[in-house]
Formats: sequence, C-alpha cells, structure tokens
Amino acid sequence: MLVNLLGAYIPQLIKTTIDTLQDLDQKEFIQNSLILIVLLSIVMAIIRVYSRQVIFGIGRQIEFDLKKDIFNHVIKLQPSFFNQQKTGDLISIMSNDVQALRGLGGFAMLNVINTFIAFVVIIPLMFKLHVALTWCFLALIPAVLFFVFGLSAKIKFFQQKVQEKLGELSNFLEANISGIHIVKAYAQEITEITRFNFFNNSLKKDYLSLVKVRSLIGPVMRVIASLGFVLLMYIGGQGIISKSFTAGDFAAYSLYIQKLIWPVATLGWLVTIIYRAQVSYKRIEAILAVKPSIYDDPNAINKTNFSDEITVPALDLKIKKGQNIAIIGTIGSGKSTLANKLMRLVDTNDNEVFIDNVDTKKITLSSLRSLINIVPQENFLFSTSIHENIAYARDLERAEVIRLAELVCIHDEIMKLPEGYDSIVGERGVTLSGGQRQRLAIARALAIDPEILILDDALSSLDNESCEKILKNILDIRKSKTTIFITHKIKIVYNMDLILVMDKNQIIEQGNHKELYLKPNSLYRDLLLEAGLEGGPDEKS
Amino acid sequence: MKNLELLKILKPFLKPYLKKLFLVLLLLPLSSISFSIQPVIMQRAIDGPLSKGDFSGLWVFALALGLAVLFNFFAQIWQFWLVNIIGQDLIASLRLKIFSHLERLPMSFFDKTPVGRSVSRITSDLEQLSESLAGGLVLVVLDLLNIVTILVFMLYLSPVFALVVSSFLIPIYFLSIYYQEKFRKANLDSRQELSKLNSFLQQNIVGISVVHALNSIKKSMRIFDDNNKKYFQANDQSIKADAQLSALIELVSLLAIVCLIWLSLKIIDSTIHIPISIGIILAFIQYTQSLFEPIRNLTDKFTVIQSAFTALERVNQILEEKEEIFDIKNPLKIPALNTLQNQPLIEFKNVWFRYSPNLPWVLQNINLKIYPGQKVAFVGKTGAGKTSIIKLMTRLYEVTSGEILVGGVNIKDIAQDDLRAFIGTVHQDSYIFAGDLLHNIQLNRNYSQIDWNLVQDLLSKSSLKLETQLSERATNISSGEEQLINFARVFSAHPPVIILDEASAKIDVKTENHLQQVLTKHIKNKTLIYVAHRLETISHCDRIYTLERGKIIDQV
Repeated sequence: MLVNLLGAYIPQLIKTTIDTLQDLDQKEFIQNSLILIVLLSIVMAIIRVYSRQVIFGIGRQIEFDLKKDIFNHVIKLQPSFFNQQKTGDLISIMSNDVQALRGLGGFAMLNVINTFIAFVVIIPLMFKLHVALTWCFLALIPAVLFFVFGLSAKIKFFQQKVQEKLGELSNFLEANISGIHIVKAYAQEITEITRFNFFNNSLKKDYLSLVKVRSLIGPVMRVIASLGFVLLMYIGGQGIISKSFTAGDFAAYSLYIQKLIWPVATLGWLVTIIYRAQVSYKRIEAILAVKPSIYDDPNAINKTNFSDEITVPALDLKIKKGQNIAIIGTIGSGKSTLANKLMRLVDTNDNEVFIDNVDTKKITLSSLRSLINIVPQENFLFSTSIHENIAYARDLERAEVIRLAELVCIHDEIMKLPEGYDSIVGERGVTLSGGQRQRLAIARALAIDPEILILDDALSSLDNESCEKILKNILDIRKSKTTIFITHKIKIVYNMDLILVMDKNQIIEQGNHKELYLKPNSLYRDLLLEAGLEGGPDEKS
Repeated sequence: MKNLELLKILKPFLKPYLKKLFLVLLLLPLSSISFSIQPVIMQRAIDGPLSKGDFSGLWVFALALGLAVLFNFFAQIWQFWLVNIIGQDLIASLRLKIFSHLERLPMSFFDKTPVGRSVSRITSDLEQLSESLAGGLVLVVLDLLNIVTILVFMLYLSPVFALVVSSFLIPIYFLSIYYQEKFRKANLDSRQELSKLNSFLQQNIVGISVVHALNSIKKSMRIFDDNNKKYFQANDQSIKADAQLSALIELVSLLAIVCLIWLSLKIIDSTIHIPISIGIILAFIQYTQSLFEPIRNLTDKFTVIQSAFTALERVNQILEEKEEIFDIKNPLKIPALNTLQNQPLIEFKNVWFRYSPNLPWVLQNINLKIYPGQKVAFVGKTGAGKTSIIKLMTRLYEVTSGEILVGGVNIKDIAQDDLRAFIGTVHQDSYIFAGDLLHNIQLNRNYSQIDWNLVQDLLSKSSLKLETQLSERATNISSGEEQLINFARVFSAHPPVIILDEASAKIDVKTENHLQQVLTKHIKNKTLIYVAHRLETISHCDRIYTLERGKIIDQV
C-alpha cells in the first residue's frame, strides 16, 4: 500500500522540480526535492522488498498447506479408489492445480492491490493534472478490458484444449513405452508411429491457435499505452500552448500512464489466473471430497492381541491361531479378495469377518493391520535403500535386517550389489528381478512379525529350490503364529493344517490334505491330478 | 560452443521456412525503430510547435506518433505469428522424429531408461523448448535491438544525457546478473525438492496397497511433510531474490531520473553551453523506463533460453542413442516350412552374449538345434540365462558373438517384422493397453489375421469378453486373466514357432489345463519352446536343456 502511495507521490515531486527548473532562484528548493525523491525511492525499495516477500509468502504458504492436506487425505483412501484414478491425474492436481492456487495468493494478490491503488490514487491525481485528458484516457480502458477479456476467453479455451491433447499424447506414450516389448514383439512400430503422429498433429494445431492468440496480448497492451501517449501529446500539448498545462505536468502524466498501464494490462492475466484457480480449486475439492470408504468406526477399539480364531460365517470359515492355511482355486475365484477382506484392504460388511468374535469393522484399522499383514501379489518396493525397504514398517538395526534377508535367501545376492544393503532400489538405483523383489517384499512383511501373515501368491516368481527353502524358514519362525498362503503351487499345500479350495467367491472345500484327497469327486483331487501329482509325499496311492 | 552444436539439431527442420525466417529478420529492425523513435517525435513536438505556441503544427506530430505506434503494433504481431508458425511446425516434426527414433531403439535402452523419463523427453522437454522459442529467443533479439536503437536515438538527442543514462546500465546489468544467479540457484533447489516431492507422491499412489498393508500411512505422511517443508524453504530463497531485484531496479531507474534533472539544473546554472530543453528531458525520462525494463527481462529470458538448451540437450541424448539393431537393405525371407524337412528350424552357433562390455557374460558358447514340430524346454535357476536365449532368438538383443539361424538364414538378414511374426513369444509379464479386450488382442493387426475362434475358446472359462474394457496396467483384472490375454494375443495369429517364457507361473493348474486343451485343439505341428521352473509343464517335451550360469550343462 505504502509503496504504491509513495510511487504515486514521486511523479508529483518530479513535476514540481521540472516546472521550477527554469527558475534559478528556486535552486535550493529543487535540490531539496531531488534529495527527497532519492530518500523516498530508497524507503520505497525497502518496503517493496518486504511487502513482496509477504505477499508471495502467502502463496507459498497456501501451496504448502494444500499439498499437505491433499497428501494426507489421498493416502488414507482405499486402494480400490486408485483403480479408476490415473496416477498422472493425481500428480497433476498436486503440482499444476496447487500451483494455480499459489499464483492466486501471490501474483494475483499483488495485482489486485496494484490495480486498486491505481484506480483509487493515480486516477484522481491524473484528474487533478488534466481533466479532459484523463477522461479521454479512461475511455481507452474499456477497450483494454474488452480486448483482454476477449483474448483471455480464447486463451483459456485453447489452453484447455492443449492440456487435453498433451494429456492424450502422454497417456499414449506411457502405454506405448511401458509396452514396448509387446510393440516390438508384434512388429507394431510403424502403426504406432502413425497413431502417434495423429496425436502430434492435432496437438500442433491447437498449440498454434493458442500461441497466436497469446502473442497478441503484449502488442495490444503496448499499442493502447502508446495511444495514451498520443492523446497526451495532442491534448496535453494544446494545454501547454494555452498555459493550462505545464511541462512538469506533462512529465508526471507520462509517468502515471506507465504506472496505470501495467495493472490494467495484467487485469487480463488476473482474470485468467482467477479462472484457472477456480477450475483447479474444483478439482482439488473433488479429490478432498472423496470419502475414504474404509475408515474407523467411531466406537472402534484397539485390538492388540489375537488369542483364538478368525471367523467368516458367510463362508463357513474358521481359522485357528497357530494354523498354517493354504488357499487354492482357479484364477478369479476370489482368493485375493478374501485375503484383502481379512485386513480390510477391501471393505467388509458389518458382521462379515470376526477376530476373536469381534467384528473387524469395530476394530481400528491401524491395530487390525498390525495384527494381520499381507505380502501382496504385486511386489512393489519404494525407491529407497534395500535396508529401508525391509525395515519400512518397523525401524530395525542392520543385524536384524540381515537376519530377515537370510530367512528369504537373499542376503548373498544383496552383498553382491555395489553398495550392499544401502543400494537404492528402482529408477535411480539397482534393477532387481521379479524374484528378488518378491523376496524383499516377504522380508518386509516378516519384519512386522504379525499374528496373522498372508502371502498372496508371493512365491510365484521363485524357482522350486528357493521356494522350498523360504517356505521352510517362514514356517519355522512362525510356529505359534498363523500363516496363510494363497498359491498356485499345489506342491506346497500338502502339509498345511487347513486347505481352502475356492471357486466363484465361495469356499467349496476345506480340510487337510488327507480329508480333501479322500473326499469323493473333490476339486482338490482334480487339481492335484491335473498338476500331475498323485497323492502326497506321505500318501502314494 | 556446445550450445551452437545443439542448435545444429534444429537445422534440418528449419529448411522449409527460410523465406519466413528472412521476413522475420527484415521485420525485426523495423519494429524496433518504430518503437524507439516515439519519444523523439514527442520531443520534437514539445520543443517545436508547443514551445512556439503553434496549434496547427501539433496534429502533424500527433499523427506521426500515431502512425509509428500502429506500425510497431502490426509489425510485431506479424513477426510473432511467423515465429510461432515456424516454431510449432518445428516442434511437431522434432517430436515425431524423437518418437520414431525411440520406437526403433533396442530393448537395452528401455531396460536402463525409466518410462517416465522417455515420456517427459517427448512431452515436457519439448514443451519447454516450444515455450522458449516463442517467448525467449525472438523477444531477446527484439529487446537487444531495442536497446541498441534507443541508445542511438539518445545519442542523437543529447550525447551527455545519453552517457549519463547509459552509465546506469552498468549497475542494472550487474544487479541482474548477481540476482539472476541467486535466483537460478534457488529455483534449481526448489525444483529439485519439488521433483522429490512428486516422486514420493507417485510412489505412494502406485504402492498404495502396500502402504496400507504395511500399516505405514503415518510414516508416509511424516516423510511427505518433511519433503514439503524442504520445498517450502527452497521457495523462500527464490521469492527473496525476486523481490530484491525488482525493488532495486525500480530504485535505480528513479535515481537515473533524479540524476537527469540534477544535471539539467547544473547545466542551466552553469555557463557551459549544452543544448537541453524540456522536450529532451521528457524524452529521456521515457527512455530510462524503456531501457531498463528489457535489461531486467533480458536476464530472465536468458534463463528461459538456457532451459531451452537444457531441453534440447536432453532430447539430443535420445537422438544420439544408437539404433543398434536394424534391418539390412534387402532382407531375406524365411524359407517356407515344408522346404525345411530334416533341417533345423532354429540354430544357435557358438553364441556368446552379454548386456554390455563391462558386465559378465550372460550366455557362453551356446550351440543348439531345434527342428520343426519339436517341443523344447529350457530349465535352470533364476539368472541362468534362459530368458536371454529367448530374447536373442527374437532379436530383441543382438548376439555379442556367434550367430543364430532361422530356417538356415542368419536372423540379422531377416526383417525384424518377419522374424517376430514367425516366432511368437508369450512373456512372463504382459502389458495391457487401455481399451477393450478386442483391441488388446488385435493390436493394430488385421482383423482377418486373427483366429477369433481360438480366442473365444481360450476365454470361454473366464469372465472376460471381447468387449470388456480394460484399464491401463490391467488394474481391473487378475494377473491370471492378464496372462490369458497374453496367450490369446500370441496364439491367435498362429506363428510357426511359439515361445512360452514362464508363461503359466501366474495361472492355476486348472486354467492351465484348459489352456492346454484349447491349444491342442487349435494348434497343430507348431514348434514350441518352453522356459520353465515347474517341471510338470515340460514333462512332454522332446528335448530339455538345463542351463547354469549361461552354459548348457545338460541336455536330454
């Protein structure tokens, strides 16, 4: 505020000095006002440094808070939400949309203040200098606004189109490059290039329209400012001749025009920024409005121990503490869904799953998930060191991490990496094979040492030898605890306490190997025979 | 100059636009002069008709000023449009070139390059380039020209004042350089923090089920908060630098005006005879404003240009990647199957392979023959080299030494398209493109080339239908179903040789048997090559190779 007032006052001082310049008697006065101008300019500069920091600081604070809010919200949403939401979209909300709101807090606010001052302070001063001229000049402003609004509407339109096209292009690219081995295997390069060029050309068309309109803005603004000068010269010139307007007035007026043009010109940007911020705000709001479908019941209790059994009445399922369980069945038969339901990664209905006769919906998620844990099918690792990946859920000493790595037979392989346990995994680090990732994921879950551990097809990428070793190690250290294996490897199920055979989301057979094998027409037996395995190791028939 | 070298990439794309470029070069000085001359016209008016009280002379000057303004306006628009048309065409051709190049790069390139990086080369880097071309390069030339023409006009009006005003350019220049450097560093920091923040976000979304399963939501929040704070602080620095610079520039330009007035006072006061007038003082006040602004922006724009070069350099890195694997001029055809009785269909002769010269051998002296109609299996531990053999066979990688023959012809002499249509591979991991199932199976091939009966039979026991919509990365189907699609893709085109690379690891036994039935019904006399952990899958094979550390240690 103060900056702008001072800024408006300085041309007045310049005006007086120029007007008195011819008059040598006033030398003292001129020198004093010059010194005053210098002092004021310095004060103004200092204030400006701080005021700008404060104003832009607000934008920065907005960005910080929004990012925090969005992340803390999104991370709580149920995993299934992300099946429809593309990762790229979320990242773009987090970067582009938040940025748009940040602009509102910084740049836009600065402009609103400037424009306000311009109209409240500068225009009255201009009127004081020359009434008719100022009216003429004000008549130009609607023209500016007309252009600016017209142009920003167009820019907005094309900007959106360009964004859409860019989005299409990057989605296409991402699919193409991730599937490059398929593209190559089916020799689809040429057809893919043709498809790419289709996106490319339509992007170019819209981009060109956008930049054409956008490049009008600068010249249009400048031409209007310059027309202001033409007016100043013609009307103000007449004033000078008729002695109603002085050379000092002329100088001050020309400075005012320049001061006014900038806020008026940026008014157009302001409109675009506010509009963008609106759109962005809606998108952010939409994300924040998504309610997590899996959340803690207000009366949820913390359950810290598992003493008896898990039951799923609808499936007639009882899992006793300390049992080793195998779940088998055809693809899509609901094995993973059941596993995810046990720990509410997929939500359950009321009274669907019980632990020690407590409905899991009445247990806090965090305590439930420290009781039951899962090694999911897709072996996702974080881009951090191997040590931190194993110790992700629980901070562990190196010795403990090594013990876990040895359990899943990966210690030797880790030691062969250039930086051992400190090697970074992922894009910027070492590339691990599917089997290695799987074993690290198992180690990570073992680190939690939950009462109930589910391995969802987590042994699939391992060769038979390592698979057997790791299986034995897991069973050894989890003797008194419950472990559930979802698997296609029929061989490993023989010795389980309970085998569940699933089909179409139902458990159609359950029992131990002997029971199921001897049961007439059992699907289990079918599966076994189809796998080319007759009976069990202890049961050659 | 490295930057000049980089510009050479653009040269071939600029050829069609030489005429337009010439026109731009012609327009540049014209628009610059019509801009800088405006204060001179004003000065002439003030010191001419105005000081003489001549009303009638005034309108000529007003008209002249108006004309200069309009001329400047149209010249600028014209040249901006020309530049943009050239720029956008150039970017589009460059984009196409990079993509076409990318499609032909060997698999080894994609192994070491994250997908996101390749995508951003073609999207954000090129966008950066196009923004800089439009907003940077031309404006910089225009600004420089403006500075020159303004200096010329100032010298013409009053050499003494011109000297005084231009002496202020020196502090402005150094201030800009100093702050720009500070600003650039702060900006770099903040961008690095931002990219860390974004990549953390991305990981947490991709791995959301793991985050939930590991009960580590709170931990993720904490890490995000730390990163966010660092980003916040880095931003602080760049805001500070920006605020200081803009305040200082304003200060210097006011000081310049003060200095001008003070000087006029001295001149009027003294006996030195230097022609000055109110008109000249006013013209100089205007010049100071239009002189300092571009200099301030100049450094901004140099940053923009610098980022254009960075973008160009990154793009160039991709263009410089060698294709490595390409077709010879007149590729040979694979002989028809019936002419190959008793001859090996696929033959490895002393094949050695490693991914790069500084890595250990993956395959060592592999010799083998596969005959038409044979069923062959490769077994061995993870990392024994099974998958590498397969990749070499379809020429996704090139042998380091030795040769591979298909139908007696070296695969280097066969067109890659033909080779890969001849040998179909069911990979361990598949890739689902967003779209319906039909599209995912057909994959730009001719509808009539696909055996749709086989596809229907394959899918008959699953819930998948041809019109089922699949999401990117197949998040809406199970991994077993994904693999079924993979099978359908390969088998439906009836390639003479089919490779199954650990293809049934994610499939339960029942589905696998169904698969077997469908295949025996539809597929006859095919040569099948298995890579397997599960011994059950390969019990019926004619020949089994056991690999260990890149060597065949056993064959039965």
